[in-house]
Amino acid sequence: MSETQAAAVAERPQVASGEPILSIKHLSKDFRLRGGKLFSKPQVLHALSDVSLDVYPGETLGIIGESGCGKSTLGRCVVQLHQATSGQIVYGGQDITKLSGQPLKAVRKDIQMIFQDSYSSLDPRYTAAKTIEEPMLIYRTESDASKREQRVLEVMREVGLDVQHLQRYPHEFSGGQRQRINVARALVLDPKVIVCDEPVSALDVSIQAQVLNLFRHLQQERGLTYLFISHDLSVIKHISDRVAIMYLGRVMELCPADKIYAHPLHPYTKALLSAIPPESPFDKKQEIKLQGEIPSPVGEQVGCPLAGRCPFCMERCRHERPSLEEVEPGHRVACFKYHDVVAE
Amino acid sequence: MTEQNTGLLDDAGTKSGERILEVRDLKTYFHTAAGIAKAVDGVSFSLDRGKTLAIVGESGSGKSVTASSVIRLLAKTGKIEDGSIEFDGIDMVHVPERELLKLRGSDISMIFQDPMSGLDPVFKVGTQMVELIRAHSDLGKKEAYDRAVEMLRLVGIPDPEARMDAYPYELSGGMCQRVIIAMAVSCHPKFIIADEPTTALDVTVQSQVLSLLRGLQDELGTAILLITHNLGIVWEMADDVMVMYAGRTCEYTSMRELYSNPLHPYTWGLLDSMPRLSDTAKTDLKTIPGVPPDLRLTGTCCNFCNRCPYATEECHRRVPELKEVEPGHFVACLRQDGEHRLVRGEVNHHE
Ligand SMILES: Nc1ncnc2c1ncn2[C@@H]1O[C@H](COP(=O)(O)OP(=O)(O)OP(=O)(O)O)[C@@H](O)[C@H]1O
Ligand SMILES: Nc1ncnc2c1ncn2[C@@H]1O[C@H](COP(=O)(O)OP(=O)(O)OP(=O)(O)O)[C@@H](O)[C@H]1O
Ligand code: SF4
Ligand code: SF4
Ligand SMILES: [Mg+2]
Ligand SMILES: [Mg+2]
Repeated sequence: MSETQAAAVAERPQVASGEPILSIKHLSKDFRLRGGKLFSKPQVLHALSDVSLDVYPGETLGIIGESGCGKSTLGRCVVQLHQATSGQIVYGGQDITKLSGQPLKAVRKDIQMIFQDSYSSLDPRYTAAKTIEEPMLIYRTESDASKREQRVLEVMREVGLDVQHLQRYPHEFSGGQRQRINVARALVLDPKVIVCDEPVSALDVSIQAQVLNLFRHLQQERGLTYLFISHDLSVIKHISDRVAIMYLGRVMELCPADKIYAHPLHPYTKALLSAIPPESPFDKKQEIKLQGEIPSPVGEQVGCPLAGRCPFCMERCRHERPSLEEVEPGHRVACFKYHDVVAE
Repeated sequence: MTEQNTGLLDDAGTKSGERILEVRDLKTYFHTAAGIAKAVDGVSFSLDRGKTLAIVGESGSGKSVTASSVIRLLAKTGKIEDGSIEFDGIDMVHVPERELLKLRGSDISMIFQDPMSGLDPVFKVGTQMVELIRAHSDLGKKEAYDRAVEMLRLVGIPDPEARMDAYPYELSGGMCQRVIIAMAVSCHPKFIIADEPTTALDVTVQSQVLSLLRGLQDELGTAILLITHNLGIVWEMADDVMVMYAGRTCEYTSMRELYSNPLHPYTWGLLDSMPRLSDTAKTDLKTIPGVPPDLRLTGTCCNFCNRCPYATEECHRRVPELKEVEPGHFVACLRQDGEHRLVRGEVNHHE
């Protein structure tokens, strides 16, 4: 890394400040499930419930949480692949959940998504060149074919793809190269925000390292903002400025990335950290096992989502829901245990 | 041979009847219009009952093709060219297709790398599970249904009865992966091939799924071939580890030995590229510069020579054989055999 780059890294704010670029307000997303039996009444699955998050320009907001807790749903709502049930997503001064037509298209161009599976998210019949060019055709950003080609070459270089491989098909690339094509495709429209849904979990560690470095460099050069979803806590720690921990469709804790490891507060976060596989065969993990049935997002939700499994559960937790509150500067938690401490 | 090394290429396992899988010098090539891709080009390993062998290595190095070769589930263009595969006394290279079909799903089950490929998008997950269980057991419809619900509960799917009616697209990525795992273990196989089984799972569910697999091992003596790029899982689960690069085994030893005394330069690169929770600096991660070789052109040199910081002129001319350089520790590197010893980090400067 050059010195200027190193300085840029050092200067990155630890606690986000200024005006958010993206503001998610009380966002909820329900899915209607068909009843199993004929005539049984349809049930509602609450994939996201009252999620509020501010994302600041140039930061990486990491998102972790139990599998099925709504991370991808959140990402899909942000890029408008899902229509939110209620709540707002404010970008550029307007609630984008209410937009349609041309204004929506303009916003979609600014907010791109990279999906987990580098393989099935690429069309096997399209060459790398065509895949990367396609968004420019969909959004009609460039009518001149030779300028489009120029742009394709430009982003291919930017993500470290060999421009000789322009006419290759997805199966002729390795996993890491395919993910670079996905990144190039997301970059081609020059977005401001990228939602990355587990972009490195299918890659081996040395390629994962290449792709993570690429994300960092692009952020430094272009001031990109990332919403970065991952299950790998060391990856999240490495890439994020702040981290949101989700459980059952809600945000449980929100704080600077370093703090989540040094000073986690929420009982779920603590359990999550304790379940990380060891860094060596000689470390034994002291796992905090969450007891009890994993709660279901189907049907009416009362109390703290963790109540049935939390070792600190109090009577109150069963019928009242803790809101996400700031208990230390820049550190928010949704748990009565800490709210009371602060109140005292 | 030490106790931990039970799965290695010795004869102890075979003699005691503990050996369940023995692969020797396997070569699987793909015959494509553009030429012959030597996806697996000389891989040997063995596995005992109740043990776990982890395969790690670069993406595209042939891990999945090795696993698919064992159960002969290869694309039409793929062919086992050479070598032997013996599973529980059966010659897997020559066994008739009919018997193979019976083995898959009963004695052997496979958890595929891409969770979606293992599920049919047009059928409810419950229907798919019940069908599979009934095909490989003599359970009635009701019992099979109950078994399926129980398996979903064991892999941590909340409200399993309700989820039996879900279509795959209605489940999250991690839930689909757990359905696949539930299906794989529901018939109590002797041998499970798990290809990146937990990539879509959070660490608490991952831990639950891994203990389910371990429990199965303790109870039924199931052997597991585990392909993963998560080294933490290797440290947690594996007895032995094989490191692959460009179709060949480059290192093969017990898990603890690999951690404490890795010997192959590619293994060093792999271990160094891992982000660690204990790291505090937000600097670039180490990578292995360069790209793996074209698999149509391998076989004349050390496959790692174009990226190896320790490569000498000889490495570009000779193929290193897999040698036992220390008891139970096999390495394929021209500069790591008995007499010659490389020191990690002491890169040559003559180039
Ligand atoms: N199209 C859909 N129809 C019905 N339910 C859905 C649909 N998409 C998602 N869900 C449900 O919404 C919940 C959240 O799913 P989501 O994919 O957002 O989880 P996730 O946090 O990304 O999980 P993972 O880490 O496993 O990918 C799950 O219970 C899932 O079954
Ligand atoms: N059907 C096929 N036709 C041609 N080549 C193939 C085919 N299937 C696999 N290959 C090639 O064989 C090599 C080994 O592939 P394999 O899937 O075993 O890699 P892997 O080690 O499992 O990688 P990853 O970690 O990315 O899953 C790759 O270079 C791949 O391109
Ligand atoms: S609010 Fe109560 S149940 Fe919920 S996490 Fe805190 S202590 Fe546990
Ligand atoms: S044989 Fe040569 S090129 Fe290959 S790993 Fe050893 S030192 Fe490196
Ligand atoms: Mg997801
Ligand atoms: Mg694979």
